[in-house]
Amino acid sequence: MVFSSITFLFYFLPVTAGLYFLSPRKIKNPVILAASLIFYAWGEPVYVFLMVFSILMNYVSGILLSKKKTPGILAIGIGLNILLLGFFKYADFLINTLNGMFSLNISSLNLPLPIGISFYTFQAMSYLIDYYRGQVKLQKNIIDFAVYIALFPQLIAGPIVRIKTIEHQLHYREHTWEKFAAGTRRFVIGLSKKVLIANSLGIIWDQISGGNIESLPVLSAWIGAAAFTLQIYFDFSGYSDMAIGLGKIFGFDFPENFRYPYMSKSITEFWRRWHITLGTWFREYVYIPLGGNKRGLPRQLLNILIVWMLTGLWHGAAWNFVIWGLYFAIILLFEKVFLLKLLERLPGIITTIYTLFLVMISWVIFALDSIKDICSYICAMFGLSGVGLADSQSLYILSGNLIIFAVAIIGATGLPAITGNRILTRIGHEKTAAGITEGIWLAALLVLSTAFITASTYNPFLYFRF
Amino acid sequence: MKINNQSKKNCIIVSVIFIIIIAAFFISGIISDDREFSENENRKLSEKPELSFSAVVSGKYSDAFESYVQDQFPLRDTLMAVKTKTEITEGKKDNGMVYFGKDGFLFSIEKIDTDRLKKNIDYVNNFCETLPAGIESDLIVVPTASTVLKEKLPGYAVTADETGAISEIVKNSKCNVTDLTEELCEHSDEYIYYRTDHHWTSLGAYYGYRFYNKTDNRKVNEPGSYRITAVSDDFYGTNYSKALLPSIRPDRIDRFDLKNNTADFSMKIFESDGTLKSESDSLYDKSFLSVKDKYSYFIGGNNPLTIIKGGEKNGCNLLIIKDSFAHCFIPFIAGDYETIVAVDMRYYRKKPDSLINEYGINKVLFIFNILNFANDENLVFLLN
Repeated sequence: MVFSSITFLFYFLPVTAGLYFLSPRKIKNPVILAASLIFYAWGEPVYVFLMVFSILMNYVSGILLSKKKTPGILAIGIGLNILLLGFFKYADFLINTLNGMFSLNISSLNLPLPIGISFYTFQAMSYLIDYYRGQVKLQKNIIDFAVYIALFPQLIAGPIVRIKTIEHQLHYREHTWEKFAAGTRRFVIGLSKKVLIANSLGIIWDQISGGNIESLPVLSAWIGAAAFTLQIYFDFSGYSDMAIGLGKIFGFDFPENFRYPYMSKSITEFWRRWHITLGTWFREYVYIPLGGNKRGLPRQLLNILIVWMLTGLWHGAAWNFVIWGLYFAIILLFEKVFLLKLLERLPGIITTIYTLFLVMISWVIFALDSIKDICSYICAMFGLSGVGLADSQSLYILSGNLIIFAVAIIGATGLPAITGNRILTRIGHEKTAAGITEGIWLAALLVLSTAFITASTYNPFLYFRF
Repeated sequence: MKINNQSKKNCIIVSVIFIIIIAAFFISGIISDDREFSENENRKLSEKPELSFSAVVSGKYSDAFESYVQDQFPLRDTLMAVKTKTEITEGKKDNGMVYFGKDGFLFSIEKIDTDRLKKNIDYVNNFCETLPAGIESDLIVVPTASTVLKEKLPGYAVTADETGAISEIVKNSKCNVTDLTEELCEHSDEYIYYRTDHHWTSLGAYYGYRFYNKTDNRKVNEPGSYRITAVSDDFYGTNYSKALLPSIRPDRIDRFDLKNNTADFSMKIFESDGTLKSESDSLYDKSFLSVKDKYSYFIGGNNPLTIIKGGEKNGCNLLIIKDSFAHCFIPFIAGDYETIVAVDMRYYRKKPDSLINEYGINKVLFIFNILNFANDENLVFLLN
């Protein structure tokens, strides 16, 4: 089930929240677990058993580790998780690659990818490692542990919550009006980002990339790249906002996942602001264990390369994601060695352009599957396809979407949040008028988003490959 | 993003507003009656899916449920209008299905399948070759509003290359092709296409008829010889259903009757298996004027086989292979033929050659709008 659907908003959410808040504290966790399993089974009626299996496997691994804390048991636990992920996500990729390299003829498994498997497997692994390191307690209660893995707000598109962040809240949560209001605010804003902005931009990208890429004029190529760049930010950060908001409504505090990444002044900074929980995961569980920056520059550079190849692969089992990861690895290496020092001395506008330019190119690699299309598209951006600067499609799309682009660009900065806060401060945060103003604003966004969901057949889920 | 320093009272206000909206849609979704058909969108709405073990396990149940609740959502029509209005305010000039043109004109966004077009030209050619000697075949191609009323399109709008497709037909067809583009363009300032529908109006069809009969060396009735009656002035056509824009003006449907009409027409409609569906003494079916699909007023809409008798007793029997653009065209030529046998391959779906002997056909006329001719997948039935 996706958040931006009638089924979720007006059936699942009211029923779940109603039952949850009416339940006595003791059975709140069983209720939210049952709801989460239904939420997952709704879209993956068979793979829900895979998730249940993963929960049991990691629960037992934890118990075994508590009996005997050896690296061997940890390795088995982690290995099983990687095996699950590898089998369901990477088997066909591996088979196709082997077939291609050695002209073999192994037949593909053609398994559909279980949604969210990369997210919940990573959460499970973080539990085992953190427990092994003695940073968190053993999860003795299987229901509580299952809630941690399967919790529906962050189940299918993150953020990747490490158990230490919510360890306490798994057993005991405060439910306050302050938290509920913060949650609704965050949820409605996230929903609007996804439905009102990201989906509109997605149509532009689909229109441009869906045609003949080789004959794209320069302007169309840039409009398309800009549209996807903004789409994926509003879509993904919108999902995270919804997840964080829903978490708050049910009493959980999830970590932030995006902090205005397009305001970054370098790619290094961009990755500190983009999908923060994934970056943290790789830093904590791959980069630092590999030695991080503690074993000399050559080793650090190698570590960066490894981490970014894995990061690329995490986003999908396909070569374009590997290239995408390596692309960032190379930029980060350059920045580490000398660029960052140079960038610090340059004016903000130049560093922003530098960052956004590299990010836009990266999204082209990310969004297009075939290497040939990626090359043609990037050629088109630099006028190498020989079609010219613009055609009537580029002018049509640009002239019809100026406002949506303007809204998206402003929305990608901190300006709306600052402005909103300023308005409420001017009214006076404690005055009833402030509450009513904010309530009406959120109500308008919710109703408008509902209108867009009801009327659209276009509501893509971008993370089915993660 | 820490803007959460509202007072508790205000937190309650914000939360309660959110709860009320969700609860209101939830409750009204449950208690409201399901609609079977949306007049507004002109389509059948999804029904409540049957709950079964196999449907749940395969995921079909959840898919069906999603489209059911989306289709039956309370205030669906209003919410759709809100979306369209918002997008137009944002400056959008289309909604993926129609262009929002000038002066209330809506244009369906279409593509031309050039491979299919080539095949269809061949099917028609092959069919004509199998016709008994002496039977001539004519082909009328009608451009759509997006070609004729170009200046009503939003700026830079990209439309299907109808002109290119028509010249492809002119070049390769073995029929006597009548291309109406120029003729219709000359009258582009008149009401020749509906604003909310993809069809041409009766006036547009009249110009088509006049041009065709002139090239065919037949007599032509001048505009003055008709009595024109508006049979409906609240026609919301197919493009309206795609646009869902409440502020669009409805169209008017005109009917042209010869002032000195002597013909006494009869019309029989058959199913594709040959059973008689209906019989009437008029080329018009008034019952459609009270429903959404008012264009079906003309010869009773889309049917596999329609037989019209009562024109001049001249022994001319015409087989028309057509799409719905023919419907308001046929009344103009009905007087010129003793019998008109009209076949719609989309519903007839078999070789129409038996009709040639049965009705003593001595002429064949294909009449299509260019998009249907280029994209239709049923012309293959001409051959088997």
